[in-house]
Amino acid sequence: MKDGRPSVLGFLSCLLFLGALCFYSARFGSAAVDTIPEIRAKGRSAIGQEVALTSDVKVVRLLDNGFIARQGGAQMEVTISDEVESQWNAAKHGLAVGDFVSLRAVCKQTGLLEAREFHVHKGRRLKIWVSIAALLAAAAILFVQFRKGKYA
Amino acid sequence: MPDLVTHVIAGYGLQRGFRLTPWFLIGAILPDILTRPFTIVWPGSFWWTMPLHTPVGLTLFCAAIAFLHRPGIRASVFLNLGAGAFLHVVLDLFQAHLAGSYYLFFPFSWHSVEIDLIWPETSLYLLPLWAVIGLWLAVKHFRQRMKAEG
Repeated sequence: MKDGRPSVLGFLSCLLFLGALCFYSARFGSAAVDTIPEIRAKGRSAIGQEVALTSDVKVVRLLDNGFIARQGGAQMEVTISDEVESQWNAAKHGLAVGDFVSLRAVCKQTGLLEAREFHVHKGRRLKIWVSIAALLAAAAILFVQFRKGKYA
Repeated sequence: MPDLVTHVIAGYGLQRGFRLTPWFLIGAILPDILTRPFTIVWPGSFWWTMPLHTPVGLTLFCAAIAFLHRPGIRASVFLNLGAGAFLHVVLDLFQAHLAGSYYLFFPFSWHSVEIDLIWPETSLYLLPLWAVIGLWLAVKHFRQRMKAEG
């Protein structure tokens, strides 16, 4: 590669390493984080397993002692265990359909989780919209800066 | 992640304060741009995109972008982009998650790390503060520009 020109070889090498890392992560990623579609796909073999779901789990229906959660197009019922019942009683009045939650739970039967720990991410939807607005603002700032020739 | 407003204001403030290049601001939002759209739309992609939110993955990505530039500015692009991404990772560390925090030592360890100080959405309470700082930076910028133009 001649001096003064972009290094396509360097660029491709980095992307190749990055691709290898992503593959390694997807293949051997720790089971510390699960998704509802993964748990559903395991079927009966998931029963008795502890699972952890991140903040992309959405509440789609409220029940007396729990809720129906959806993630990635799949749904599961979540019931509340005795150990978090007081937390649930405090949180359920503010909980609404469409809210995002994260959970630590045990799979009791196919399609049913028992929550051992949970957090309601009130404001996550606002956070997503605010972040999109911030992204547009950053794009505008960068457009002005690059147009002025502040390149490197 | 704290909301992107936090990352943009912190990145823009430091960029102007230390006279860094626009690549620093890009770096400050880079980890979320590379990962969050995918994990929000397709949660199953978490482990595929996770390396793009780690120091090693970000270093490789910043190097890849730097290699697209001529050698004279390559180091500047890499350092600014990398420093911005480093700022992003540091700000993210203050959060708490029930699951799936930050794998700082990937691919050498699957141990996840965070300081557990605030829930991810708590940063929204700081929005008025960021709005005031953003406004102050904008006013300062326009004043300097008016001064420079005579």
